[in-house]
Amino acid sequence: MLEFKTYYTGSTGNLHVCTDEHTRIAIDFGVPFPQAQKAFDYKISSIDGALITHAHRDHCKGVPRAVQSGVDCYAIKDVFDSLGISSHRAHIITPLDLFHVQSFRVLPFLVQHDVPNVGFLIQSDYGGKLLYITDSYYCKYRFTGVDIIAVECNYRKELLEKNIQAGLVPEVLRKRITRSHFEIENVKKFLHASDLSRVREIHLIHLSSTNSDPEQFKKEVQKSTGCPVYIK
Amino acid sequence: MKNEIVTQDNSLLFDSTRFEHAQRVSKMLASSTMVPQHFRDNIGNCVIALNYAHRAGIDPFMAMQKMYIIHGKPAVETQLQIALFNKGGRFSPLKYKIEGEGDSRRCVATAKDLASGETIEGPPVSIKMAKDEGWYNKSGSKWKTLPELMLRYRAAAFFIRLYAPETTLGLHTPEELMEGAIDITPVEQEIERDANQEYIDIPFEEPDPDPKENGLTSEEKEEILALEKAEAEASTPGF
Repeated sequence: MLEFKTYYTGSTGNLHVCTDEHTRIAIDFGVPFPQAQKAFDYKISSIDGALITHAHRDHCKGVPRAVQSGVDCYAIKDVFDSLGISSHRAHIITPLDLFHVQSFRVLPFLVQHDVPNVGFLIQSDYGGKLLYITDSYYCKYRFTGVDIIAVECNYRKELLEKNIQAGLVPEVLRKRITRSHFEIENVKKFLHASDLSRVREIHLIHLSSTNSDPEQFKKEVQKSTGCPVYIK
Repeated sequence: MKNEIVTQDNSLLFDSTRFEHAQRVSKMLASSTMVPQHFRDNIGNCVIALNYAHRAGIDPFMAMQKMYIIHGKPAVETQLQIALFNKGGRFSPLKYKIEGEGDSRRCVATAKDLASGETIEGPPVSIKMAKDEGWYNKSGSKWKTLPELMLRYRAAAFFIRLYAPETTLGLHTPEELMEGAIDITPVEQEIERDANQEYIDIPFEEPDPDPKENGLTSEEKEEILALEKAEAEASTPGF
């Protein structure tokens, strides 16, 4: 059965894993390599590939050593260029061009961040579909027949404003956050625009440590969608 | 170019004779391979460029080389905006005051108001500002590779927009649009307009009956396992 697990999420580093009966892939590799090794019980070779969303270090920090260790990494050119990686393990992907990682068929698609960034729609040959979107202030697309959704739910507008007024968040960050990260009301609209009839898990990821309220976010999205919501 | 508010009188679009002539010229330009790609086979874009050139008092062919479409909006190179400002006749040509080092390095564009003799200073632009505003770290940003030029260009753009907005005829520079220095559309409107529009899905394929191993040879796998084992042992504290 298709499964999704979050090891690390947030601006300090992101590492998730998606597995089915045959294949295990990492999604984002934004933690130091030893941390990833530990997360994988020192069995990096159990990872059949790593899908990387974008070039910000909290999403690709561990890629150079992962590539050295024989992990096939899949990312847009921008990511490998920024890391200075050229290897047969570094697979350049193109938005809306389907590719395969063993039993997974993966469709990357552009999302809206302040650097080129992609989300992933992942279909297992054994059944089950996962949608992964992070670091995007909205998504142009809608989806159908998805079983697991992992989506960024970074901040609430009112909390951000309150923190700016209180001096906890610098004012210059307002524009940057609102034009690069998903706000909870926009996440709810996004979820409702897609077909949720098959969804059995929604994972809210990449929550801001200052501008979010995890418990409240979980309750709200759960109530709004009727789907079980998980936050690590 | 005269520094005055542009009215319908000097537009190509509000006189049927001039408009028809502009269409004929645009048809020729649109068939040329010497105009940038976004004007080829696009008579509408060519008419708009002709109108801009006419209003700015410059050669249409030159205007087209300096015009871009960024995020669906027309933009005019900073270089051309500075040239138009410099020949405008209301101010002396722009000069730049540069000071500071590292993140504190900043640039102020200045020009003399020829009528009053007063020297006007534009808003300062610094490397710190470029970083705080998110321009510096944008993908493909020239701030990292050409910081001196970008400081001057941005300082000039700010000055012109503030003291001689008639020069730009309402158009921004490509850098401003690409870096989001100018809020083209409020974020809420952009999301309302563009979010959740199109369904996409994975094209149907027959599942592979025999999914392959992950491309590693058995030697590679053994080598990696040995390496991981060694690293695991090295990171385990001894007792």
